[in-house]
Amino acid sequence: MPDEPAGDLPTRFVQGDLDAFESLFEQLEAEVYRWILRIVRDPAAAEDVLVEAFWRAYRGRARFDPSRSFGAWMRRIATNLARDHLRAARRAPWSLPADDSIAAPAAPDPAVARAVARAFGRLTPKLRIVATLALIEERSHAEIADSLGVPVGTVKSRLFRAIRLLRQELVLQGIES
Amino acid sequence: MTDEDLVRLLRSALPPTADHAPSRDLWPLVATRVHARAASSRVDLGIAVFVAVVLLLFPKAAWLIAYHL
Repeated sequence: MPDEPAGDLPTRFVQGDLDAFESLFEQLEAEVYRWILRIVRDPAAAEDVLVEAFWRAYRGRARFDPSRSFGAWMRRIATNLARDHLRAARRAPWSLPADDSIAAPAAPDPAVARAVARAFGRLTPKLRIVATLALIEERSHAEIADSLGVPVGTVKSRLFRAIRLLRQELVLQGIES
Repeated sequence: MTDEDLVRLLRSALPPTADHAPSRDLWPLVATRVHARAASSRVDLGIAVFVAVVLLLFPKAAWLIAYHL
């Protein structure tokens, strides 16, 4: 997350000051958006989740402790909503992003890329979030744990399970290396 | 397949997201929802006041209100 909002913005936000909330939004919008995009991998969905996240934050502002990190609190709300989005979208098959502009060039073999994406899509949202953030986006275990509100040990165990399941699924699909 | 092979495969099929920003200004959407909530809060408050007045004037109406809850 970026530098924490300075001054009394978080305190004013808790008191319902809409100008303070707008300032916080402007400061954190880009970072929170990127965080959500890493999880949902869909720019349009990331925008929807972002709006919902800030709205939920405003609605639940009384629960925020201004002495703590607003960015971390915001990221946790965003992560929970991104997970909800993955759960809701789980019925639809996981596919490579239609808009390739969100990512760098993909695998040279489209069949392998599809198989990997399919295997990835079979992970539960909980495991997929950890695998995405740790393996693809290379975020630290501590950062992931903080955003999910779970201990680092839980992140490690979910990552272990995700890797095991992915490997099994890829072997089933005939991809050995 | 080693962990390193798996990660390499994953990152080639699902590459890390590049630096992106929202395609439009999203603050108006957030602000609209905040204002909509404020408006509905006033409606909720109005209903609560109405029910309280009814209960004060007609205490026996409590059963009727309880039935509808």
